[in-house]
Amino acid sequence: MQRECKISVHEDREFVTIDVQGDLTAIAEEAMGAAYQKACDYSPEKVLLKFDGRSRINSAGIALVINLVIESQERGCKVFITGVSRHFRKIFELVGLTKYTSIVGSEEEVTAS
Amino acid sequence: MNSGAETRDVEELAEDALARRVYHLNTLYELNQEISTLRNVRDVLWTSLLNIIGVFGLRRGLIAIYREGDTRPHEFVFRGLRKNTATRWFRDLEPHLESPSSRAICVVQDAGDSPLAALLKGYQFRIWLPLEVDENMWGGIALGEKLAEMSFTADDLELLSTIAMSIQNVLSNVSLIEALNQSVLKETRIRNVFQHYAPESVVSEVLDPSNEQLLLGESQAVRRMFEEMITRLEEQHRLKQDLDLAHRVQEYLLPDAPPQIPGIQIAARSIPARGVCGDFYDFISLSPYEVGLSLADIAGKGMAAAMIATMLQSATRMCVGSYYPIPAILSILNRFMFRHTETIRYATMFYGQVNARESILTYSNAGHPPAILCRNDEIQLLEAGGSFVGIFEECTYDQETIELQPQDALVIYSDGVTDAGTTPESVGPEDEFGRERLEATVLAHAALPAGDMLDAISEEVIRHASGSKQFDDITLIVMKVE
Repeated sequence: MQRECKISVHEDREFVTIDVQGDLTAIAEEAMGAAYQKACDYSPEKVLLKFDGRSRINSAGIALVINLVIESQERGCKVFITGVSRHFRKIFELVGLTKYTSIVGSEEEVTAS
Repeated sequence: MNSGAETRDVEELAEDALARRVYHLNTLYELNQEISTLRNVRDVLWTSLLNIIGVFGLRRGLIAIYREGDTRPHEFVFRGLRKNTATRWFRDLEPHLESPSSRAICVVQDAGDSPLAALLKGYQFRIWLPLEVDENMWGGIALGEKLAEMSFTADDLELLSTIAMSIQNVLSNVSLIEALNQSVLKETRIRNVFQHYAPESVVSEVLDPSNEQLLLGESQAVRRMFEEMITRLEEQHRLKQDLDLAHRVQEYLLPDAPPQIPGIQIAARSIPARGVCGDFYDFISLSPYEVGLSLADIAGKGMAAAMIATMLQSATRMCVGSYYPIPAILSILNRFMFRHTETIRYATMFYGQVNARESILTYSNAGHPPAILCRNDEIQLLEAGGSFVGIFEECTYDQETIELQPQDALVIYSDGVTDAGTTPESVGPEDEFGRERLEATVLAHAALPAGDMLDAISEEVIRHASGSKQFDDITLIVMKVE
């Protein structure tokens, strides 16, 4: 059963967090676009895409992440990802996302990087 | 002997390959399900494009649908390129639309100097894949480079072709529904215009007030019936597409014929309980005189079990190809199943390798019903191994090597064979075919060649189960030493 996706944005001093609760699929496209725009309003140097650890991300969801990563790259903004299971970490690696993002274990790692 | 580090590297490569295959199969399955519920062309194109971009990790992509003879797209979606770039692309593509090359797949890296390849390259596309929807509509998918900066592989192209087939099927259905909806709307509009503009005397003549209510009521009832019918047809169509897709994937993976190994006869059969099978069997040729035999049964039934079966079969082939010892193969498959499927998903599996030159069978049994070896009218059960595949993250397995003798008969089977004749409501074992009956049947027919022995066992099982509905997949491999 697909879990509803809720996306929120929080600003920290060092970076902006896009918090994804639930499963990331095509349905979340609009919410993800709006969240990213909101994140960009802070003109961040770093964005943390934070999943809840149980999120299922299908290939349409991966496309949303790819879009975010490419746009951030064009803006000179670094993207970090946290809270993904081992399986999705592997998928991110296979589709080439890990060449352009860093998967981190905690928010402290974003600050330290 | 491999060093620990080398073994780990190989294991990681195998895991990558397996994870990629699972991701591809999941995408195929989910995309097919998702677009089957959509009712307009644009939504189908958009959802498909997102999934294609995600499954290959692409920088850009575009799908367009044309009406036959048109040079401007009827509908299109794109991602990863600006609107004016997309507009230029369609303009530059126009001269190519009449060319047969636009109706064939074009992979830029292999296409040499073809004009279409040059155009694709100019827009940083790497692939053009045509879509043949129906006699009135066609289209194409243009895909950019991968984030991983790797070329498209033969497996990618195969997946892409299967995705294109799903999109074509759905679009053909959606365009039919759109046309039907249009005709109902048209009929309603004509009626409204007639009532609005025709002189009152004509309206009264054609529709007297009492009849009008009746006619309007009838028209609405017909529309409701039509909509219900469409919903039912769509549902049926979705289910059929689901089954067709799983069938296509399974048929593609099932071996066409047993391998020819001197001195060894092999025959196999699988009878699914519902359109698709949660069991699989496979023969993996290792050398001219060596073959791997696998038979697995996935917990659960229906589409989900069938997809896992397909995944496990594919994973087994890859692991066996890397020449690991059998217990290591099962450990890798176990870890892979545990990590990449839901916790409720597990499988029982028998895997063995026959070496005809050395006359040996080496096998390991992962919680599967013991295979039956029949020798000189005696039965030996092959039980060495370990636990189910996919229940615990780390499992170790034992293997056993048996020296084969002439006229030995080996029967590997799924529990659908021994459970045949029972129903989900059965309370006792009295109805089931059972292992004792299976052993007796194997003994009775052990002198036959493998193919005849398989027929004889299958007939006995089916005869026993006649009258009861088959609720589990029935799968058998018979091997006979000459």
